[in-house]
Amino acid sequence: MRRAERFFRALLWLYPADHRRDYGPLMEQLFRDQYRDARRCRLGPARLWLRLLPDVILSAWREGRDSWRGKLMNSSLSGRVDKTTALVFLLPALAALLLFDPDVLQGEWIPYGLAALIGAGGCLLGRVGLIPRLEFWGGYTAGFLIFAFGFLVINIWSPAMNTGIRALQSGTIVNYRHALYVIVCLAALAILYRTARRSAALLRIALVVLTLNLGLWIALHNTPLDAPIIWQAAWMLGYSVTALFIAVMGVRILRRSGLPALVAVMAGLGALVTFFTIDEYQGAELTLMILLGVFVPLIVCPAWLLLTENWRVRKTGLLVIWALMLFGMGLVPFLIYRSSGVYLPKLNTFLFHLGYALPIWITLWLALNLYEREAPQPEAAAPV
Amino acid sequence: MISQNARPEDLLPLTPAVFHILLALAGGEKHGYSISQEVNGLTGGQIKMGPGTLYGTIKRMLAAGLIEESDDRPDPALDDERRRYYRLTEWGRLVAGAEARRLDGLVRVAQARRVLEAD
Repeated sequence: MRRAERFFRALLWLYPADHRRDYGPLMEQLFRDQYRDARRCRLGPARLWLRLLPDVILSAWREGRDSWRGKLMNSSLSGRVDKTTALVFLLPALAALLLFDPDVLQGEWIPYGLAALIGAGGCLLGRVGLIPRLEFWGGYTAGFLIFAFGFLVINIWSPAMNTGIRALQSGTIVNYRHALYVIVCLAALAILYRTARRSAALLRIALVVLTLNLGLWIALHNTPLDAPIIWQAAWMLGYSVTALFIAVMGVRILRRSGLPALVAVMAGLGALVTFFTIDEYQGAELTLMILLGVFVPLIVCPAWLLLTENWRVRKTGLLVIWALMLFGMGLVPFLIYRSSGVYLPKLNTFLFHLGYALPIWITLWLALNLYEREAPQPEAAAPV
Repeated sequence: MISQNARPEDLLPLTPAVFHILLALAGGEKHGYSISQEVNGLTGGQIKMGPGTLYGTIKRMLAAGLIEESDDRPDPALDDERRRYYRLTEWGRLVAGAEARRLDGLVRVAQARRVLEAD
């Protein structure tokens, strides 16, 4: 019975989040009742499953379709959100265009295009709620997850893209394209800031810009040099998941601790592998940078935040996360100089900070605003 | 949402799931499991509603104002308080009646054309 219940509960993830929230427990209760009846005859459970599976699949499809239609109707009512949807759809495509570099790709543009399409499709599907399970994490985050997966695919498919940190040192054209990409994202953020109506939506948008920025940049430039494919995959996974995690942390503000805790473990494993990979391939100083700039702010601090219920501590924790992240990222040019004796061109350093500091501080400001609004107020005394 | 000028006939024909749930609730308020049992009994076991169809249909019927949630609870000793009870609204009763009359008209046509005699 328990195994059947668990399986049925897992099937409920096929439904849109709002339907699952309103009717999930009732559907589970009805399933328990029907399963109990079915067990009275020998083939009853098998017959029940044969009847239930098409029922769940068809009704989940119907609910998902209705949910999507409802959102599209709401979008068309407001007139503004349609543009937002279009913009979110276009962002990955635009990013792909800006970062496209035939020299780096060495003719292997098909996987790159596919990844961009996957990312754009993922963002759109997540935005309109067609991915019921991922809707829980927010459509934009879902889009990023698929986008990161796409880049993981091309990174394995096309090792020619692993240009490493040399690209940053030499100031290749890819860096300027990346900077342009960041500027476009920030412009999009400014547009969305004026059109979005709630600060939660703003925060989500800011986080997706930051996450796309972080994930893309690292995916394109920071993969360990000459590392075996399995290490590269671990590196990508570590960064993708940690970037996703920080986005989820900001959006959901630690309201639920079940799945985030699981993601934290996954991120921790990815970061651990990354940690040893860097030590092996890029030297101890870069390891320190990653430790301060990525591992502590993205893994240790969120894990610490998950363990506390105190809002003040959470707020402080958020500040610590971003401060450490900024500090760690700020060390990059210095540590590159220390490890290789190469000064980064001033423009590169400026673009680097523009790419990281600005989105981080915008996100921090929005997150703190949201904290102020959503922090629980002291409860009034209950009437006697 | 029910418009002030709405007529029961505007909603016809009803889907079998909606009509069966209306019929089940015409006998009194029920929770999900007892609705599914009632429908099973009404149709001689031909229609067995799964959780997906039942609650999807209930959601749409609530939105259309055909049924409503009931606050009245049976004896707590006999009931699981996590269950939700539903009952027919006056509008739902009108719509069920209109659908029954429509089906009755079809049955009369079938009788007049001797379709039923084929059995």
